Amino acid sequence: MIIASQKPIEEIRETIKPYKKVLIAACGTCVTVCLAGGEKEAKELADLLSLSGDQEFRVVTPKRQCDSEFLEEFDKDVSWADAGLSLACGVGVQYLAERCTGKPIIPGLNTAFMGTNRDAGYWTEMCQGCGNCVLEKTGGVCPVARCSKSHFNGPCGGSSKGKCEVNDSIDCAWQLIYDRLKSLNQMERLFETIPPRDWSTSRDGGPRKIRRPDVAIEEVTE
Amino acid sequence: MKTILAGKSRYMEALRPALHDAGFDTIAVETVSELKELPKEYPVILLQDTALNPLITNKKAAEKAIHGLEPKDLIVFLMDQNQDASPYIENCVLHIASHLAGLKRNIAVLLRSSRASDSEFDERYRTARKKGVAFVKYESIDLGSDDGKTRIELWDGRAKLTMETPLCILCEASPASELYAFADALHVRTYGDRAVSGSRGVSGGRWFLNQGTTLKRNVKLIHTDSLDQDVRSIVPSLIRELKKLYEPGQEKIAFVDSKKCAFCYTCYRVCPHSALAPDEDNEAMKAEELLCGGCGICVSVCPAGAISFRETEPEGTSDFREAEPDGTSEGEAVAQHTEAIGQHMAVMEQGTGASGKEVPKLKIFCCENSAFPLSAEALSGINAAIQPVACGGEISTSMVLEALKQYDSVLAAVCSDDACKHRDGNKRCTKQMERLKERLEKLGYNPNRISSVRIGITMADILREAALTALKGEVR
Amino acid sequence: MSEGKSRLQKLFESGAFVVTGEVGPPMGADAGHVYHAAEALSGIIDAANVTDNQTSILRMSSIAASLLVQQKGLEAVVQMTCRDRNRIAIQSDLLGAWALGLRNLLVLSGDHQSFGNDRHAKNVYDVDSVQLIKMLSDLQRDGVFYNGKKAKGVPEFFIGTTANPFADPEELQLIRLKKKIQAGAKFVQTQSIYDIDKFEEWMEKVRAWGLHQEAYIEAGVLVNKSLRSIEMTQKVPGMDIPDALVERMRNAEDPKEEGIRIVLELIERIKKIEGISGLHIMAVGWEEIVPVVVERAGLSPRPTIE
Repeated sequence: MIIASQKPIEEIRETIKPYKKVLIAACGTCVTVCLAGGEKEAKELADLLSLSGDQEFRVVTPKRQCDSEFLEEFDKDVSWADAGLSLACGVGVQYLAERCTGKPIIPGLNTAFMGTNRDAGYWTEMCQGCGNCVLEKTGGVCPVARCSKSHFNGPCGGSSKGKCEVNDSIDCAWQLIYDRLKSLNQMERLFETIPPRDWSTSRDGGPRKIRRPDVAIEEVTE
Repeated sequence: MKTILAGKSRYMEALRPALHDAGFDTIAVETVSELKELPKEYPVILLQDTALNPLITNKKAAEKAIHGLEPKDLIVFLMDQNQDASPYIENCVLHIASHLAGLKRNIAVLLRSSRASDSEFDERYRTARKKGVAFVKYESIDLGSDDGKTRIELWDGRAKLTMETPLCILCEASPASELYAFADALHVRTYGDRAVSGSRGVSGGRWFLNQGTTLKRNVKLIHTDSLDQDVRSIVPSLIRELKKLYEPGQEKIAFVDSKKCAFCYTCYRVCPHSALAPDEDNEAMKAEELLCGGCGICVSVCPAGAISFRETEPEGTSDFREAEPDGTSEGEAVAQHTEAIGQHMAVMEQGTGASGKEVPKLKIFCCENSAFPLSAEALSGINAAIQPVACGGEISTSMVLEALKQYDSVLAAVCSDDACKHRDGNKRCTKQMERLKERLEKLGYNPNRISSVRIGITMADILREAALTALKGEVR
Repeated sequence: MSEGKSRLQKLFESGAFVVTGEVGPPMGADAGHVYHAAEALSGIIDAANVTDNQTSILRMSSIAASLLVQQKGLEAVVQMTCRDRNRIAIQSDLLGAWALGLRNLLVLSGDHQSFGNDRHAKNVYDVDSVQLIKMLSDLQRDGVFYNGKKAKGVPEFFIGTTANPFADPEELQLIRLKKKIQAGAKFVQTQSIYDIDKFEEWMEKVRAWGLHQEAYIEAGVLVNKSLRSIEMTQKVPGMDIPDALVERMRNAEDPKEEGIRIVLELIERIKKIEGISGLHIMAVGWEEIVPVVVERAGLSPRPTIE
């Protein structure tokens, strides 16, 4: 799931300052689940920002901002507004912006990572979407996302008592990999040298697309 | 007003005079046959006492239990319900474990991930660690036994650990056995430890009977766990319970709108009563009526705005009616509800004399379990609008912001540190208020327009002082 | 191509007990600083590591400073971390380094940028140190880059790397060292040693794995000048300093002398360990003491080599 956190309130206030009527668009999926941009947060934000009485706010909560089918209500309400404040991930913000010619869509969240909810109010990063998964080699622990240096061939010398040199609240990914491979009885994997990665499947290859021709309505040649 | 107090509680005698002063004639019964002889129409207060394993409460018993074991043997305390255990249990375990470790024994305390940790406990944990007690947190556990030893396999999310012990002490509170007999006689539904919420595995349900919702309107259940420090602390809430028995009203319980539910499990994680679980189709969360403690923590925390309070019908049918039948705000709904219960529960606009013309500048959310019973006395002469809430955890940011539109300042008065009967609703409230204060400050508003105070049931003066400070909008 | 071999490599191959040290490039463009440091160590040690933005603190480039060091008659060991450059930049810089006459190369991961003054920088880690060592030694062997293109002029660095005997899990750290050596590392410098007993145990494992026969292992030591200095060192991640040594510094009448004595005692023990081929002396902020340590440890004068 995509994990995000709300931007500092003063930053949001600053960016929406020029607009009299602001439509706050919550998003009902990932950012609801990670408590950053669901209906509750949107309403709270509207309440907080309207304390000054200078601006008007409305809240709309599409199920997902990243699919046009859910945005009908938003389309209606946005005609009322001078600007939209999207509480979705970066995908939602951009997708709304594409739909609103001549109307600014402002991000209300900082989209952080793909991760998991470890406990109430606690999320950790698990995946960077590098486009070339190696988890079968590393016991199901991602060296790209979870090692601070994305090491593929073992820990750096800064690993200490299972913690990362960056700070000891971070688990050393290679300690986790080691523990997992040990429990899987796959220690031989640790001796394999993983060659330099093909990063072209990652963001480094430019913006990525995925197509499923078998599902597509029209033939696409690319 | 006659009321039966049933249960072999050591608090009974301490409670009776206090109840008497409040106008209730109590009949104490200790056996089922005594109970059966009394008229059926008398309301019954069941005192739910719990039995604690003597090995965690009694040094001598613990010493006796380890007698005969080898010094190298590992002795394990298993706190499988630690999230739910009262601080009392945790305290007992720390105390006895440290004591045994001091006798040069190998002691391990196994804990399911601790949500109940707080700063005061930190110190106690540190002390125990220094004495050599090992604490192991785990996610899942498997117990087996062979050869007179318990084999424990636990998984901490990273690694599997296997240990063997001749003495595995289960550290949980179980209801005293006579309570089952009373419950049978009163035809109150009871729950075994595991039947309640099997989805949580070993940890099971945490209440024997759910507080307030016994499904028998003339039977109320009072937990005595909270009485360990101060018997007086239960009296006001007991009186309220009794009044409800004489004037049956509705109970607020959580209701999940499955269409809005994002199925994020936040409510499941934070509910102190294990009342929320996936529904039959595994498509949305559902609140279990009989488990819901009516604290409102899930209502305030639900990110999708999918959970609201609804009210049970009197006489315990399981049908609901909307708590907000005609679009009234949550606060008004609460007010209507509480008025129905009786004058004692009414929202009070105080200190304005008979005319009541002056509009109050301060709104106080008062937890029903501590601040609200005190409010009449503590706040006399103070011009404030008082709204009772089921728990500090019910006070949402939205409620506070709504109140700020009308009032100059808002005060949340909630239970003192370990006293919250919904585990940590008081702390949740304080933390939420802190976050809101920070955001208000960043927007350039005076953050001291909102404040919170944690008070015990005898701390009327502190409530008064907090209200006066809040009125001034000064730093607390 | 024996004429391409560095003096350091030849020394190791001759079986001499090698002594290396460090030159930290300046936080600026001052060549004089590098010249001064190189002159002080020239003839005292066999070669000097020239650090690559150590602890992520922005400094003059290792390659440029290495050239300055060699101009003063001291052989340089270029350091290259994987933190700041992608495979294009790393290889390109190293081609240049070879062309400039630099022959020794130490490959390392690099401390995370959060330790330095540019914690807001983006890190790269396109390749890790094992991958980089392999890329370079494959290039050396085949004359072909990792991208498949033939190189016009092949760099034949004497490639080394680092190891931390005190990091954990120990087995995994050893596996990693083995992978680095398999990838083509010919010499290894260890993290500073304080806990000599633990280091001896580690070396036992290194010998059991036969790693000391596949690469020259240099034991790292750090000379502390004061209680504060040893206390600061204790805080560095991956450092393991027995409290007894800190106590010795605390109680010493002359902490500087005590610091030297501690290092000399360590060196005495190190010299006796089977499989150790040399000593790498660090003296962060107290470089002028290195000649004294080398002298008093009986490691002077340094051997000459044709």
